[in-house]
Amino acid sequence: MSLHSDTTQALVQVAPKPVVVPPPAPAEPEPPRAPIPVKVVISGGFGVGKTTAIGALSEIEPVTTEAAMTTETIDIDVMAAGSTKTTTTVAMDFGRITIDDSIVLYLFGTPGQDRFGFMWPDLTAGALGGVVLVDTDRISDCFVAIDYFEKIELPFVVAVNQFDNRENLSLDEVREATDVDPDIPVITVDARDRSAVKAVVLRLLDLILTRAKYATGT
Amino acid sequence: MTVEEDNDLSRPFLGTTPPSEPLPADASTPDDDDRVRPYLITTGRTSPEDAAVQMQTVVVSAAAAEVSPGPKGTVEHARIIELCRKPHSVAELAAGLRVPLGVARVLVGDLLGSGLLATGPSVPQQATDVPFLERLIAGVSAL
Repeated sequence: MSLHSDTTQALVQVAPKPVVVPPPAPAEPEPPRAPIPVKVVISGGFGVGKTTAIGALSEIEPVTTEAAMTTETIDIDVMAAGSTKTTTTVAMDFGRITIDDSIVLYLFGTPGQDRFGFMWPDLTAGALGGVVLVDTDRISDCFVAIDYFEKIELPFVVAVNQFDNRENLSLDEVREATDVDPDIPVITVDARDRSAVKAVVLRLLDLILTRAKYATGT
Repeated sequence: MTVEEDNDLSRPFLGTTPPSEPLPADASTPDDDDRVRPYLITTGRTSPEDAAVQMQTVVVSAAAAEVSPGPKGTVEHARIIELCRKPHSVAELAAGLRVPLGVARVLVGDLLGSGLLATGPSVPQQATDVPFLERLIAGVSAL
């Protein structure tokens, strides 16, 4: 009797245990969902560092979907003095950055030469924004990209790649030469530096966000 | 590999008509898979049925695709389904299959049309979607 009573007392004093929910039976594994792609186009003249910039930020090695040009075309594509580049992109290359479990950022590099301009509608279809890389030794090389982005009203930033052992133009001079809209950022970048390329992408996204807030009145 | 060969391989993507001249006899290589003309893989089609299939479109195999790519399925279709057990963009598939982008777009369009591939949720107006952009900025900042 007393044993029973003690037991009852003990049971009362025990803190209520949390309700244990049995783990759900292992269901059929859900097929993975495709993430939302975000497309940013990296453009600029031949040999300006587009593939380098993509590689600096991408979690994969920049992938070229087609073939690479060889030294056989060096006579055709004249590079700035001091460049030792021996191959270039024929079609386009891209990098991938996983943002979170449902967004993937793709950086697509445009072919460097004017003669591949016919590819631009496909390259920019569905793009969120663009980056125009500039080599101040050959600043006119970027005009095709700026003209195209302005024509299709794609938000973009002008990123001046800083080459070693060169006298680079000032940002004011680049802004004057490119004559871009006042809200278009003109900034420097070291295409080899991950944090610098990331900063360029963030400037682009800030520009797009600012425009979006303005457009939606928030 | 010469520049001419590069241009041949990429021609359907470039949007021109298929070359009328056959490959020279000495063009064959041990890796003959690379010598299939792109317009044969797509049976002559140069754009996907669904124009919304772009190079950044991300697709994943649907559950039904566990079975087979269907009677009209090609080796390339089957390979795409295999790769797409994990999500892949069209550009990544083109690189994985070593076919031009235009070819990958057509094949992915086929498989989307027959329900063997699925796309994810779409955000059609990314550029004006403030919450989406803020999420994107937070994600890039955290890289």
